[in-house]
Formats: sequence, C-alpha cells, structure tokens
Amino acid sequence: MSTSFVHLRGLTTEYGNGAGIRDIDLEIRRGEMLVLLGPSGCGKTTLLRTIAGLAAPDSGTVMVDGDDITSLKAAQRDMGMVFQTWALFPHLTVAQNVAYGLKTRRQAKSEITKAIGEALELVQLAHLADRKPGQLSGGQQQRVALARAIVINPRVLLLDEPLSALDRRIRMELRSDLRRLQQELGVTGVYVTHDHGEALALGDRVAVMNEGRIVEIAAPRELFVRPRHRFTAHFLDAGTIVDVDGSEPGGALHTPLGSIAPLASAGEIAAICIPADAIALEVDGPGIPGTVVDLDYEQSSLTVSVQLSGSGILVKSAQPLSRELYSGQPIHVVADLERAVPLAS
Amino acid sequence: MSRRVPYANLLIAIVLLAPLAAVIATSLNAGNYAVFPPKGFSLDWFSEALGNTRFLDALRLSFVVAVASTVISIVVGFLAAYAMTRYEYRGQRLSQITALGPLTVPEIVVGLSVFVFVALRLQQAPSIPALVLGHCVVGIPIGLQVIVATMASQDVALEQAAETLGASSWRVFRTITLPLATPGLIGASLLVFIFSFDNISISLFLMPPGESTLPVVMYQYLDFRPDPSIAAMSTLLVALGLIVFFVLHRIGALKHLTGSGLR
Amino acid sequence: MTSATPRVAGRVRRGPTRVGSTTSVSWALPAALLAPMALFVLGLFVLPFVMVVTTAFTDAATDSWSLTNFQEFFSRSVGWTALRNTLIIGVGTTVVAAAVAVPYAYGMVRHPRWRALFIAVLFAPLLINGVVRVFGYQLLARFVDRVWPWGDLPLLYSLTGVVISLVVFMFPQMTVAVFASLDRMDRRLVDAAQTLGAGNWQVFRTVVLPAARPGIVAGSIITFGASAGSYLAPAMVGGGRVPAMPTLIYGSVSGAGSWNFGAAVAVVLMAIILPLMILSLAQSTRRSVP
Repeated sequence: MSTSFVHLRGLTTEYGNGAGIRDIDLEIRRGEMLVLLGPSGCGKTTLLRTIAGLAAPDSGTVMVDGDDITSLKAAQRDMGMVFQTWALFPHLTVAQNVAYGLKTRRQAKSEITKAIGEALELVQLAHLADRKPGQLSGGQQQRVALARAIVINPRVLLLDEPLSALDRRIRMELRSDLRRLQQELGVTGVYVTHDHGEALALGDRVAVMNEGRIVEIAAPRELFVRPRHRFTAHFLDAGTIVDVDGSEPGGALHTPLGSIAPLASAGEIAAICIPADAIALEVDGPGIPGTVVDLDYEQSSLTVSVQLSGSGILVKSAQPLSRELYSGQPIHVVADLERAVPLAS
Repeated sequence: MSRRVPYANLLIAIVLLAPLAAVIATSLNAGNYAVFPPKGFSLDWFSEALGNTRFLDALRLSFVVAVASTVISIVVGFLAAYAMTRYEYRGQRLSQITALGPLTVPEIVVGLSVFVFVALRLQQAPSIPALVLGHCVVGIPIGLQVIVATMASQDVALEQAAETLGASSWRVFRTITLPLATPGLIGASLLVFIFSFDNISISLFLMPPGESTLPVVMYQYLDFRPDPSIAAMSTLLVALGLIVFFVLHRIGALKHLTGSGLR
Repeated sequence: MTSATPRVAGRVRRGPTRVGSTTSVSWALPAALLAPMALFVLGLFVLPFVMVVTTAFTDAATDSWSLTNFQEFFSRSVGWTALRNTLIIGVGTTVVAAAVAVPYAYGMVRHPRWRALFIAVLFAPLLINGVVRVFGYQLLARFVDRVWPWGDLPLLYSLTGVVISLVVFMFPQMTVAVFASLDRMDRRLVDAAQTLGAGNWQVFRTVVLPAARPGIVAGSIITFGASAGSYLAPAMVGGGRVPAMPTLIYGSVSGAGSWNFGAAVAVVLMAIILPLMILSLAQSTRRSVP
C-alpha cells in the first residue's frame, strides 16, 4: 500500500486577482487529516476546490488512490465536501439533505433510510431529522453538513473553513467532535482554515500556504516550535524574527541581537526566530538597551514589546503577569540565541 | 421615533386610494348612470357586466393573450436569467442592459414599432400571435428582472454542494436550482400576467380586426356609454389587482414592481 | 475570512458545467440560453424600432427618403402643441410628484410603525388596471368639481387635469425611489443635527434633502419618461382636448392612417426620452447586477 493516497502534481490555476495556485505538489496519506493553513488569498480554498473538481486547473494532475481524476467532474469524484456556509438545501429537511447524495447513487430506499439514521446518530441529530435547515442553530447546521458529506462514504472529506461562522465556544466543541469522527471513520481529510488553533487541534500534518504555493508541511507541533520559513514564523507569530546581516564563511551568523554559532541546518539562513520566552528583560543592564512600547496582557501571560534603541527593531518577550513594567520604561534585552530557530526566506 | 400620527402621509394615502374607492362605490349604483357617489345600492350591475358578451369576449381574449405572453416571457426570461446568474461571459453587462431596454421605451412606441414591423416587413394584419409577441417584448424584461434578482441571491455553493454529492447537471437543476427559483418564477409570472392583462398601449396597435382586449373595450365603453356595469367590471379588476398584490406580498416579490407601471 | 471565496467561485465557474474537459463549451451554453431573449430584443424591439425610424424618414407619397414628416410635425400647430403639452406633462408631473414624494417618504422613515401601511398604499394601485385607475380619477374629479363651492376646477379635459392625474398615478414610483435613498440615510444624522440646534425645517433642508437626492434623480427620470410617454392620461383625462405626442402617434396611425407621420412623432418623443433612459439604465444595472 502506497503511503500517498491523494497525490497532486504540478497543479496550477491562475486567476486575474492572484488568488490562484502555482505548481502545487502534495501527497496526502491515507486516513490522515491534512490542514491547509494560510491567510486570505493564499490559494488554500482554490486548492481544495481543485481537489473537489469545482475548479478546473490550468495544468497538473489530481490522483486519488492511483486513479487520475483530473478530468472527472465534481459529481463523479466521490468527495464529501463541507462548505464554509454549509450550503444546506433550504427547501429540504435535514433527513432529505443527508439523503441527497445517496439518492443520486440510486441506493435502495431501505438502505438510504438506515444510512441516514446512522449518519444523524453519529452527529447526534437524529431527533431533528424532519426539521428544515432554517430551524436549526449554526452548530446544528454544521453537523448536518458534515453528516451529509460523510454519509456517502467519500474517498476524501474536504472541509472549507466549516467552523469559521460559529461562536468560539461552539467552535471548540465541534472541532474536537470533528477530529474524533474523522479518526473513528478513518476517512482521509483535507481541512482549510486560517486559524492556528484549529490547525494545531485537527491536523495530522499542516501545510502552510502563501501566494499560491505551499511554504512548508510539517506536524503541527513541529511547525509551531520549529518553523523553517520566515513566512511561517511570521504567520504563526512564533517569535521575534531578526534578519541575518551576514556570516563568516562556515562561521558565526551576525544579527542585530548578537552573533550565534553556525547552526546545523543546511541551506541558506535568511533570518532567525527567537521565541518570546527566550528573551529576558533586565531593568539595569546587561543587554541591548531599549524602551518598552507595549504591554499586552492575556489570561496567563504578558507579552512585552520592546523597541531596541540602536536598530529600532521590535522584540517581543514573554513575562509573568506579576512582572511590573510600564510603557516607556528603559530596559535591557537579553536574547538566548541558543534557542533561536533558523529560517529560510 | 415620532409617535405622533403622520397626518400628511395619511392624507396623501387617501388621495391615492380614493379613485379606487370611487370605482368600487360606483359599481354599487342602483341607477342607470355611472356616478359617484352612487345613487342607491344594488349588485345588479355585476350580473349585468358578467352578462355583457362584449365584456366576456374581451375578457376571454385578454386572458388567452395574457396566459400565452406569460408562458413565453417566463420561459425566455428564465433561460436568459440562468445564463446571466450562473455563467460569466463576455458582454455580460451589455446583455443585461439591452435586455431591460424595452422597459425604458414608452409602450405606445413599442406598440407602434411592432405594428410597423408586422405590417411592413411581414405584410400581415394584426393578429393574436402578433398581440402576444408584442406583449412579450415588454413582458420578458419584466419577468427577467424578478427572476435574475431571485437567482442572483442564491448561494452558488448550494449547487456546488449538490454536485459534490454526485448529482448530474440536470439533477442539480431539477432538485436544487428550480425549486429555489420557484418563488421568483411565481412572482415574475404574476407580474407579467397582470402587465399583459392590463395593457392597452401595445394592444391598441396589434388587436386582430373585430376583436378587442378587455382594457380596450372598457376604454371605448367609457367614451361611449358609461353605465355602472363598467364600474362593476372595474371593481372586479380592482379585486384581481389586490389579490395579486397580496400574493406578491407573501412571496416577497413586491419590490420588483416599480420598474413597470401605468404607461 | 478565507481567500476571497465568493469571488474566486465566480471566476472559476458559477454553475454546474465545464470542469475537467476544458473545451470551449463555456460560451456556447450561455449563448444558447440567451438566444431566445436576444431574438425578441433584436427581432421585435430593435429591428422594429429601426423600421419606425426609416418610416419616419420616408415620404408616404413618393416612398423615398425625405424629411417631410418632420417638416409637417414642426410646421403644423398640432405638432407644436403636442410637443409642448408632452414636455409640460413630463416636467410638471415630475416636479409635483417629487415635491409630494419627498415629505411622504420622509414620513415613512420617521414613522416606522406606519411604514408597512404606507408602502402597501404605494404598491397596491400599481397592480390595478390603468383604465380602471383613470376611470376612478374621472369619477372622483367630477364629484370634487360638483361639491367645490368656488367655481370650476380644471381636473378634467385640461392640461392641468392630465398632470394632476399623472401625479396620482406616478407618485408610487417616485416615492419608492426616494424612500430607497432616505432609508439608507444614517438616522443619527438627524439626531446630530437636532442636538446642534437645527429646527425641523433646517434638518429637512440640510440633512434629509441631500440624502434624498439620488432617489429624487432616479425617480424623476422614471417619472418623466413614464408620464411623457403615457397614452391613457392625455387620452382619457384630456378627453381629446389635450393632444400629446402619444395620442398623436396613435391617432395618426388609427385614424388618418398616416404611419409615416406617426413614426416621425415617435422618433421625436424618443429623442426626448431616450438619453435620460439610457442614463438611468446604466446606473440601475451598475447598482443591481452582481
């Protein structure tokens, strides 16, 4: 059995507005949940729609389980898709919505009834089978959309920001339900989102996208702790990013925050990312002088922004909530460059 | 906001509705003349109106023409609306502007144009088909406006969702697109029907010799011998208009009404 | 929000076709769907109107190109009278309707509880037969004239009467357009003006009227075109004493049988109305089309 279940090769779709995708190569493993993460306009939705067959690529191929499905219409691809707006048919009941995909497959009535029951049981909505979508809450609608997509036993489950229209509390709840369901069913999933938290909670692997390309793919924790590209570090807000000024051949790298010993990572290093908890603040030296410019209090931590006097660089430091600092305060920054993460551009 | 009674608005509202009230009151006349306020009370003029063969023949013609114009206008308008809301093509905006063109031209000019075309190019006398086609020239854009508005407001993701669930293009159309467009189609049909049924300016030019539509017969009748039976007939048309009004109100299609009007 | 999903969707495809097989079916299907409508517009609207224009420029006697019909129109008093009446009808109706529509629409904005009723009053008459509406106006006008103690009122068989009747008939269209503008007005502007010490009239003049302006313009174009092109009002309310261009068009075709002259009148009428209409059409599609 090949590890690659879905295989995208050289997928390109150009649009006038730049939201297309460029030369995407991607392998998705059987049974995994792959998250496409990126900002607005990065092409993640276009990529998802290309897999679904709702967008036609200018070039490239889409393979599923060894079959080239590039030329198949969406209707022939056996993909279950959950839309951002859920796209429930407003004139059909919950049960009829779920039955829609089964009826197009001309299954026997008794089988359909049974499958609807099971699918609605799975999302805990069996008691609302006869309601119209308009009578349901957002969270319930989302679950109907999910049931409708999985009841057809899809080869791949495609999810386009399915939780983004919901309140935070319901979002958290549904997100863990979704993860559990996907793992229980063992269905291969592709999940589009711009939310780091969702990516972390849902993905077996996360592909970060920018400007139509995949910047990097990694397990979520790996991505957050050791981003490899400047874009990833910036998008995930992984720490203070500092450009590398220059380096001695085979030697140390110079940055405005000091020099560091050559890092093991191969390839060009354009910048380093220093996690906020690797930056200490000293009231009376030593360190690089700067000024506190902003204090951002959150539930369990305090993020302090300091502007360095010489270079003007803004660094962020994590401090305990109890630390007493004020805006405008002169301060010294000590960065533990040992913990810096090298970044490619 | 203000809790006071808006007297000025109420006064204007009364002025707007007074002509209709006058028609209804006059139809209840007991005397032989269509006068307001009515003299005496009777419902006799209703049976008189409904026994008048000129009215009835005209009513039948108007009904047939209105049904035919409505069917043609809605089919043609729906096809065009589908293209305008479900595809992107070059000249889209131009096609939309051109389609609404007939609504900007006085109906009397539309009537004259079709008449000249039928007479000079086709070398034909006015006929029922000519009358129907003449009404369609304006009926199509009236219907198109409503259908486009309905279909443009639908979430295209609905059709796409149906596709991902395995439905063929035809099945998507039949099970999703068409049911969701139905309120718009009903609203459009009613508006086109009323337009055609009430039309006079186009009909004047295109009625077949010896036959008249109801508005034309009533128009001529008023010139010639206004007894209260014309008021009775008018009252029935007021009732028809109000019924259509309530149906349109229920399906939320009223807002499309102001494009057309008395011309 | 995600990557401009709706716009992307629009660009890719808005409907269930053309995926995978990227042949050029993409224009053929919409073209086929639009064809019947195009046939009607071109065959029964554009082409016939072109024929009206050529007829207008054709001498009935010699059947050759000439300006005779227009010379006749502008040399006879009936032509000038019709032109003058039509302009007075169009402008008069528009101005009076706008003057009444603005306060009515503002009343609708200010009295939300009454709004549904006032909107219903506007829309209901629009669905009622035009002949019936004019008949109602006639009945009412005779009644008012009879009970009016101070001499004759020019409600019937006069230019004034035609304008008054058309104001009653066109009022809804004008008001709906004005209301559409006023409804978008930020109501807090009125509050702000009042806190700054503006009186009712000042608020109306400095806040409400500017907010209503787009609606007044749009409504005026519709009202002018519809009233200048109205056949029923001059024919029935004017009772033959108020010749206007629409009645002249029909009269010259039905009675005298001079199509060429009628066509020339139609061309002049269109020359008055068309520029305004094209303007409004371009604006309305810009606003309403997705």
